[in-house]
Amino acid sequence: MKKLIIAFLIFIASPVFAQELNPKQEERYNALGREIRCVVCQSEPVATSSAKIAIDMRDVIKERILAGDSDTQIRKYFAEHYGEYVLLRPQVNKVTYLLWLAPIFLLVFGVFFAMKNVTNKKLEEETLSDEELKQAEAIIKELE
Amino acid sequence: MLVEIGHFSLVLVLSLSLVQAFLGLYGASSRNISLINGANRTVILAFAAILFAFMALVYAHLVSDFSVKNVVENSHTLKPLLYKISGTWGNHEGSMLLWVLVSIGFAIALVLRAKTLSPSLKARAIGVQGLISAAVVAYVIFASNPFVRLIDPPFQGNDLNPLLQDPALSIHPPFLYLGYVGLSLVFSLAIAALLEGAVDAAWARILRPWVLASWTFLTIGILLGAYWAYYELGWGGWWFWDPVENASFMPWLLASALLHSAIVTEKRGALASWTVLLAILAFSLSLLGTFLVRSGVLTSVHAFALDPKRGIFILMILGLFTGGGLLLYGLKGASMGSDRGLFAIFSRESTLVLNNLFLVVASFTILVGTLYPLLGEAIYGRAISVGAPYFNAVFTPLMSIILCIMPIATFFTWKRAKPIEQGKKLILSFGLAIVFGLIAAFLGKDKPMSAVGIAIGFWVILGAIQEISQKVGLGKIAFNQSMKRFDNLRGSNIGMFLAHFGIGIFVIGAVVQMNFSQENTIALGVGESAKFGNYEVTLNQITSEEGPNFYSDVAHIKVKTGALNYTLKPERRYYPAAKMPTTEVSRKGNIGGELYIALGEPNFTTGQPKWTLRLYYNRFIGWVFGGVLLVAIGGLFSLSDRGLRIGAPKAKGVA
Repeated sequence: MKKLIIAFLIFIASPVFAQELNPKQEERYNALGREIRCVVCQSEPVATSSAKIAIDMRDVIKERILAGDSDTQIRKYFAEHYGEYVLLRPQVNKVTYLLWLAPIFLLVFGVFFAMKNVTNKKLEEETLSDEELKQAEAIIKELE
Repeated sequence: MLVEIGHFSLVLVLSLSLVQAFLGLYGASSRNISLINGANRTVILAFAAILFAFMALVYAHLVSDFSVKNVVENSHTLKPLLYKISGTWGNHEGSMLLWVLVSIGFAIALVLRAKTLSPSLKARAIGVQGLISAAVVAYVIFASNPFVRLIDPPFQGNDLNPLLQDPALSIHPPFLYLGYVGLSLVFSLAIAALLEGAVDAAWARILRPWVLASWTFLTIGILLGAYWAYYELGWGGWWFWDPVENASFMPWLLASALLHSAIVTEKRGALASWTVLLAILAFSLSLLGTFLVRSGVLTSVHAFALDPKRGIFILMILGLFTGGGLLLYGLKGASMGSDRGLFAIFSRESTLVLNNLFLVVASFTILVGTLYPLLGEAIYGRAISVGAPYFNAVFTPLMSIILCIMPIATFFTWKRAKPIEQGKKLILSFGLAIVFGLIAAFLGKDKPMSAVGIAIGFWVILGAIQEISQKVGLGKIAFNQSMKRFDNLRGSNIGMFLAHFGIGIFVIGAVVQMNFSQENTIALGVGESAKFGNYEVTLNQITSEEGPNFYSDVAHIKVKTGALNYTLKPERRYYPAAKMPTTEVSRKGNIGGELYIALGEPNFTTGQPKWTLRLYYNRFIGWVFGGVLLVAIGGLFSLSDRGLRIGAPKAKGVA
């Protein structure tokens, strides 16, 4: 009976652990390993951590890839099981809209700022106000 | 005793800095030359006092005086001499003391140099610098005192964090601080100019060498840090977008923008108020960086001090100088009216405005990303992480745009460029960059974006080469005459060429390294071999060795590639005093890339122990560091330019 159970365990385990990743999957595995944070380390991805839990988390990535999950599904899986804190690539949701849109907001603001400060100066420089025109005319008259 | 005198010196520095601030600022506004001279002399006294305090701390570390808390926490009698010295600034308290030393050092450089400065501008700058030194030295005395004694001194110290016991990291903080704190002098000059009401071309000319020096030091500091992270952490990477790295990178980006806007202000009298604003912001971001790192609000691998009291203190300093600076800018900025230089849409000025726009946006985007986890926690109550994938995603497009503009900017003329005529000259570079990009796309197969990156890198490199060729008339006049012109080029011309060229090299290196490197983790028993790319690695033996303050397992790995045979010896060290393991990687390679091996932990569960080896083939990694090194060398060349040292001409139109 014992032998049977062991055989059964090996049988169910083998599809996951005996199977190797193909080069394409290997690349996804490495990339995902760098995006997912090891829960016990300080800002260290699981790819580089030697903590026990990081090794387990790496195995989970491998398992999910072999199960045919897409990258997005795997990220979601981790967010659900370990908390969104583990995602070094923050998800796009209402909490992070501001974050992901920050460069665009800043750029629009920057362009606006530059236009106001660069072009306006130029226009001011080229056109005289009514008062200045009057002064200029007065000076010209005086000179004449 | 020496330690007590050092401690006393610190209090002296505080008083002297306050006196310096008063004499400088009041002397300038009351036009009293004897007060101004007094300010200059006070700087010298303050420098002598801070140097003494600093040397006292170095001495305490050198002789392992374990009655000093700072020494106990960061030293050990068996630590090698170099690290006993560098341990002085390898910790929070000591590094802040170094901060003050550098800050007063810059003040003294301003006193001794810049004879051409108007005395009142100089006095005001020295006054503001005195305020900065006083604020930081007060922080050192009240919140982070390195001279605190222990009543019951232990026999042995806890040792310096072993990761920091490294040659590159012993000089990394001084360079970084020369950059950060150099920006404090830039800030002081900006505030002085605002107080003086003279923000103009002459002022920009005075400002430029200080910006250039700070920027060059910051570049070297960041380079050392990245190189250290690459070979010491054993992760095969060189930039992790860690909050501390961001803290040094944000001021670097702003200093780069400032470097370019100051040129426009000096040469064309335009963008003056913008240059002042950048000078204020660049220093503010250095202070903010210090705050982020030192307060520990963002947990980071680098943070060696986590103390909220310090955070509040630094936040107050930040509020005082940033708030005060911006307020003054708001009050005086509008009345400056010194932006006289006009320029058309197509002109070098415009391209430099774009350069500034993108550098500043990139810098603030990094700031948002770095602070966002705090925001997410505070506003939404959600713990989120913002890591490398985010920064790479937002930073890369912004930088790509700047790099595309870079060669064009160098070909456009001031004021009004002829876009078609001047752009046409770059057709050769443009065509070749496309060709290289296509080759990269062909070789890289399924990575089209990397081909774009490589094309941009070549565009920058070739543009820089074409620009300097045009300057020396290469191909237009006889070759030896061109060479003669090359010899006569000004330091700033060569500096710009090297810096731009270096950026191109870096871009190609970074793109190739990140996209086409290989990595694998394998477990080998002694005598076993494995294949890795074109390499065959065999674990010949593991030996146990002993260093001055560590034990080490050294793996002897025979590497075979083609006809080449060599042995790499990655180590795993254990520092008993600090109770910490470190990895010492072993590398070998050439300009095309290098093999990088890190030794991991042994696994004893399977009978014969298996050693984990992390293998990397980092393609073009030398280009990454070499490129940045060229940028720094470019900065040094520009600094050597005589033009920066001779007298500034009087600004036109200043009554």
